[in-house]
Amino acid sequence: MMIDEAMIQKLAEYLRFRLDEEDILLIKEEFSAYEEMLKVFDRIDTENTEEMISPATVLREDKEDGMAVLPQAVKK
Amino acid sequence: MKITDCLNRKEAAFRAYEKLLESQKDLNAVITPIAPSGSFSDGKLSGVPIAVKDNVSTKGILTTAGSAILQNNIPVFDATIVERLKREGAVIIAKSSLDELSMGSRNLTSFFGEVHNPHDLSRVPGGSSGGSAALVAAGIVPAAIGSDTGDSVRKPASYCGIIGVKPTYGLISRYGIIPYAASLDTVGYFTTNVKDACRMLEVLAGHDEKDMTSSDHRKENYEEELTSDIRGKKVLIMKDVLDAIKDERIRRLFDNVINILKKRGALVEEVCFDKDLLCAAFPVYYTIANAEAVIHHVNLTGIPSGKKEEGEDYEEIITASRTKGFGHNTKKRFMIGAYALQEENREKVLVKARKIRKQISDMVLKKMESADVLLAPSAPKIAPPIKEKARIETDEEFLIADNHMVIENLSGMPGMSMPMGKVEGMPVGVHIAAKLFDEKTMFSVAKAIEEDSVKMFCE
Repeated sequence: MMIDEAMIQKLAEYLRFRLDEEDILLIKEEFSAYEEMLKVFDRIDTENTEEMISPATVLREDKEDGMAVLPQAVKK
Repeated sequence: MKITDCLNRKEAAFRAYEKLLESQKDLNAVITPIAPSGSFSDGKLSGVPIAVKDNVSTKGILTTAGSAILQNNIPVFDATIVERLKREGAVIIAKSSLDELSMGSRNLTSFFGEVHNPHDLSRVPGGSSGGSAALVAAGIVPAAIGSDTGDSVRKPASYCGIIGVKPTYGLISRYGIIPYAASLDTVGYFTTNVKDACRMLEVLAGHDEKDMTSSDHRKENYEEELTSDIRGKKVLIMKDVLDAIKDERIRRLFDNVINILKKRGALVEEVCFDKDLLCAAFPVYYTIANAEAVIHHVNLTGIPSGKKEEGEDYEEIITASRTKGFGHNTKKRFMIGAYALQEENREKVLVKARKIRKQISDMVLKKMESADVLLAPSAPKIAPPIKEKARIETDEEFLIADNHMVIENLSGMPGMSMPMGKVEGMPVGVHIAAKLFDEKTMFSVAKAIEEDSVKMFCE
């Protein structure tokens, strides 16, 4: 399996939660199936393919909207 | 129940509210009931009782997304779609249940308990928008809001025997929706008939500056221009999906649909896609959705809007709150997301998934250049029993037949599920996908099927 219990605990620590025995059992099962599913990735050549981040063709530009900027928010 | 059964009838929302309270012991489809006040605006939904999935922000009304970590979350604003519903006179009478943070396909993971299918209470309604689907299928409301990240409106629609629409990505604002995965999330909805589906889209669609992914596609008159004339329309059948379905009865029901379309003059053609790309669609969706979910929900600490746990310091409070605040299934999905985001895995898992997403999207959109709609059964099975354990499978029935509808989330295309018959007394659906922003053609084909279906049991 690509993920052992030490790695599971490490990821949980990053995610800021603790796991009980039931969680760990479920996660091991999940990763086992996930690993099996991911094998199909190896059969697909993506050498000259760009990443697709979103189906949106145009994204609105971010702009200031008059909301409090961080120093003001902190002050409040 | 249809929208017109309730339109401009002051008592409709009160009656629906009573039925909703009565249904709760059987369905458990509601997290927060909202008593109607008796007043509403004039519009396309005047007086019509509507249920809204509990991941949609409602000003002053509890919005939990089905999670303990948001169990005290009371938004100070309405989601854009809530504003639009109210402006057209809708009366929101319920915040409906969902899988925790919309992560699920059966509606069994809500902090508020499992939801039951009105056709058979021992079976699931599908998820994650199962509460909304159950309320429409039970005839309590004529329409309800859901959200669809990886078939979360269309699968429940199939299991509950109603119409479930996932419009083109960007057509409906997502401002105020608690996300699962921003690049996949689409607001969707349930109705019992195609005409109502058109009306709902007219109410909900439209550009919104507050949503950076909102499209500026022009408003359309879906209802007024609805036609069942599909002569000359080119219909592609997903042969790989049919081949992966083991239940002959579902294949036969689908054949009936195809015969309807042929009789009406549609040009029907089978199409095969690259098998590896089809099998990759679900793992691509699962990888991207869970990685995005990790990023979206780092702010769920339980402190501002949940049940804060005790701890020595800030770090300990957050860890304790998140430990108690998330269910097993949610933690499991976060773990997958965190794994994909890890620096050492990022390139071979997440980046690879995004590249394959591009290939899947291009593959389907290319085929659609010379076609009008893409058809397949919505699911290979009827709604599973609540007691059956949900798990990831790696066979083609699971990857292709049970999860092909994630393709519309990956590509942004519109899709809808509508009833095509029953197996063992349980509904099964047919899925219709169309070109980007071509909901009008999708509705036309649906209308043709609806008119000719032998038995429309959803009415």
